[in-house]
Amino acid sequence: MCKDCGCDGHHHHHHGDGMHAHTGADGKVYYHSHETSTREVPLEQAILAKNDNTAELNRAFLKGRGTRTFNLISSPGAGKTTLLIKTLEALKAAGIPTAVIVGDQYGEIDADRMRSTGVPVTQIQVHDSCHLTAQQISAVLETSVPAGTKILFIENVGNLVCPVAFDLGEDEKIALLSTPEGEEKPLKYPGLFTAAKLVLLTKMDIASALGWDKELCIRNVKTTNPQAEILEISSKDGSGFDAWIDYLKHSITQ
Amino acid sequence: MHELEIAQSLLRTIDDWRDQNGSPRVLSVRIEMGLLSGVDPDAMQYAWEAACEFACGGMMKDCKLLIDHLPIKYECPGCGREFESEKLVSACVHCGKEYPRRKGGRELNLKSLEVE
Repeated sequence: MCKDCGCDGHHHHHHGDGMHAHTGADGKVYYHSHETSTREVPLEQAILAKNDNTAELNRAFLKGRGTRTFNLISSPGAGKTTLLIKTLEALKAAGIPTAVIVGDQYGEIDADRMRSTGVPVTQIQVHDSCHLTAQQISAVLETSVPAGTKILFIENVGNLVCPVAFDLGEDEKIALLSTPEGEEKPLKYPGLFTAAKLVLLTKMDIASALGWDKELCIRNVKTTNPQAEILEISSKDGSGFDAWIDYLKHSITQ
Repeated sequence: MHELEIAQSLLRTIDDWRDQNGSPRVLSVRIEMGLLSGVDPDAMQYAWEAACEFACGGMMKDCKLLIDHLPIKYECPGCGREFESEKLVSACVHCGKEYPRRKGGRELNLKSLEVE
């Protein structure tokens, strides 16, 4: 038996270079040295390369369908689902076909709410995970996005941190920041705000009651991401919706 | 706690590499992360140790994770100079012009393996 690895397979000792080979139980030949020299092996690659590769395939599929895709990310309760319901209705009225994929830990509550609009909605339950992955999107993409869909919204799991690291194949990330969350979130959780092309400031209807400082909030968004577009919106009273719908319409004519 | 998934992704890559390279023992893994990568270094170390415990048939146990932290790079559209910062800044450190252009910061890369 090999004293180093405990195997009892065939052994080949290469005297002189210290190498030692044996065939493992899995049929593979394993080599190791009895000398303790080490070497550095450069392996320059993205840690999430596998996710990134699947995301690229998703992107190519969606581009092939002529579908523009938005990945909506925010903390829980920032108003993603309510915003989407109103948005789906407005786009439907404008004759623009849409679809939704929504991620939550458990249940179909969000999907059921959005299905009332008549738009196809696919719910992904991520269970103990805290974000959607490109693989999860890939698994439902063909059945979730009918031919002719112009806009796919992916409503990510409510989480300001984890979803940002996982490219899903979207064209743009959109960050939602609601006024009750205060002005400092962009500085405390800069990852999302640096990755988002558009930041939607939601629940603007209650901003004054909260004493929410708009100038400070916008400055904080700009500090993390000077290029970000910023829109103020309220799903409750509809303010800012025209600009938001125009943004979406403009994006699909590019 | 997406650090566990990142650790597992790292281990799958290393496992594939070992399969193709005679399965040497890996003593340490060096990664680099930007300040805006959204990865918590302490959580990453914790997740790494947990993920390594049984990975690759026990061959990754005690494998160290070495983390290089990358600063954020900026380029000022005013004076044209580049600079690095350990935190987000809203003005050029040279000329004071607002909102210098950020370059990178979200890196999350496997750099190298130290193998026997």
